[in-house]
Amino acid sequence: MKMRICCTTCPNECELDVEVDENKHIISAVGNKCPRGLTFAEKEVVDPERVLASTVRIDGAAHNCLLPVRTDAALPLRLHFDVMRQLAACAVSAPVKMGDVILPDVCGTGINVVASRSIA
Amino acid sequence: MKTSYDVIVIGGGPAGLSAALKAHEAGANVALIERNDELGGILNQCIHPGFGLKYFKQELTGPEYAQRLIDRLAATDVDVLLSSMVLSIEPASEENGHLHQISLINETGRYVLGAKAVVLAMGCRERTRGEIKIPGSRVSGVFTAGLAQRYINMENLKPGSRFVILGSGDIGLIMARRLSLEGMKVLGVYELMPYANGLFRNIKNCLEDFGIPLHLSTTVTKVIGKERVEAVEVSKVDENLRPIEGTQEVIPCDTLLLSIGLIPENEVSRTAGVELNPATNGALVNDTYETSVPGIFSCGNVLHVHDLADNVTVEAERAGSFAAAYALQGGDPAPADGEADGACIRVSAAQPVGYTVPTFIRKDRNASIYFRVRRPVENGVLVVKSGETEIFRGKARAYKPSIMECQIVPAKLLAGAGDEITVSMEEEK
Ligand SMILES: Cc1cc2nc3c(=O)[nH]c(=O)nc-3n(C[C@H](O)[C@H](O)[C@H](O)COP(=O)(O)OP(=O)(O)OC[C@H]3O[C@@H](n4cnc5c(N)ncnc54)[C@H](O)[C@@H]3O)c2cc1C
Repeated sequence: MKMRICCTTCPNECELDVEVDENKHIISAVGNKCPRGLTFAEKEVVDPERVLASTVRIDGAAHNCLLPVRTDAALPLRLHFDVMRQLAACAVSAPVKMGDVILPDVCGTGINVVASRSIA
Repeated sequence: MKTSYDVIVIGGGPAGLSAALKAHEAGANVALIERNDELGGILNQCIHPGFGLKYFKQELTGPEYAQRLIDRLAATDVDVLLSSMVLSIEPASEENGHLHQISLINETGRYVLGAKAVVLAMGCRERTRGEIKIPGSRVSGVFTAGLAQRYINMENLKPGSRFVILGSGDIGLIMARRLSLEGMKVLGVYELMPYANGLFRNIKNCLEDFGIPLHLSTTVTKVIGKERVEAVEVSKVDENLRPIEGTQEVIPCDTLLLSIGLIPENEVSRTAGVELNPATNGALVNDTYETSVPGIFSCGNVLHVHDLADNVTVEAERAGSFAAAYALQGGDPAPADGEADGACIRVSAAQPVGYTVPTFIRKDRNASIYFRVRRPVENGVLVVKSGETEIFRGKARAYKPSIMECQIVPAKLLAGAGDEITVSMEEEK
């Protein structure tokens, strides 16, 4: 199977054309300017990962009713809706500082959901 | 609050924050004026990652990018005026004591502040339905994508349930993903042009990840409904972008999001008499980002539309440091308006290059020329000419309208140029 992959490791954003076999092994890859592109592509064909960003409710803040949050590392895409459901049930109170852990170790991945900004 | 400053920065997004920080670092006393009740500009609602890879060498979300700049600014003595809107600027003159007069209003009244130098950093606003004249009913349920983004990411409001998105620019793509994650249905993204306007990674991560179809060469030709949108009619377009009769299709939905471009907010700039560039709708600037009005500088989205906040910061830092130099040295440290010493070059763009920023550069220093192509170019070679003489030739590569490019032309190549150069592109097969 042929796939087009966009490596998001660095600002170059190389577009790779890869060919994978039925065991999801990469047979050939062209378009990456550095080896990190291949590492990214190997992940992408087996279990794609993305940073998930969303919001949670915040109470007691002067100007804001939502706090933007993100995962502190790329999270398997298949878990995104699961984590979205957990975030919907989550609320925090001001003040919050950027980087504060809002939801630790989501789905047992060791990845945390953290605050994207400070709200007084 | 003082009544006059060395440098006043208008707008508290990444451009204004970065310019204020640099001007302060250069020793100027600085005020920053923002109409919102918090700093950060559009970044506060751009909660997705994709910022800072160049400048902070790390992938940040919009709020994280803004927070880093806000934290830096909080550690300075820059005066920040929030919930304050600048209405007009009267340029410096003999009568007003050689200080630009900035008029602003806030809840406590109307004020006029004086500044030796001004940095315009007011950002952009979104184009609306009126600007592309979509026929049909005047119903509720038609939003610009950025407004819907603000509702969902900041106000906790739900704009609709079943969406059609017109325009494949990054804002539309980012919103398609965001709506899907929040459980709303995105039926499709429709794009007038035969190519997508957003970054490739956004097509991949925002549409393909969620199975949202992208329809190229297709546009919305009618809005249908009584009080609220009930459906939209879409049609295929021909190579002249005209709807093709007989290709109409009605898509039932309750909300239409428009992601059809941005317009620099230059109303305040106009009051100061700043000359605008019709190709960008931003100010005509020299390589210090000074406008046609001495001592008034411009940077960020108000100057030209940027896709990366990182580029905004780099540009704004330069504008901020030259604004400080202007204020502290009582005039242009290195005027680029040409009349002074004949070292000025006017830069113009030739198709498929749509525009360049800046418009005026100098022969005696390296020039960073930002530009965009008007349409995708598979194998383009950037060529810079002075009259018939070629002074620079790039390497063949692909160019896309969605990506702002920067070409540095070294001073040694400019030294021999005339007073006008043209940036163009040759296409190789
Ligand atoms: C949806 C979306 C997605 C994006 N995605 C990315 C991305 O993934 N990566 C990336 O790097 N970049 C991205 N960008 C681009 C980047 O966010 C912008 O280029 C950048 O924020 C522009 O900064 P600015 O300071 O020029 O404008 P803004 O952030 O718009 O700030 C302008 C400020 O000026 C204030 N203002 C305006 N007029 C006045 C006045 N008269 N008086 C007082 N204050 C005033 C406004 O309130 C505002 O706060 C995205 C942009 C959008 C909209």
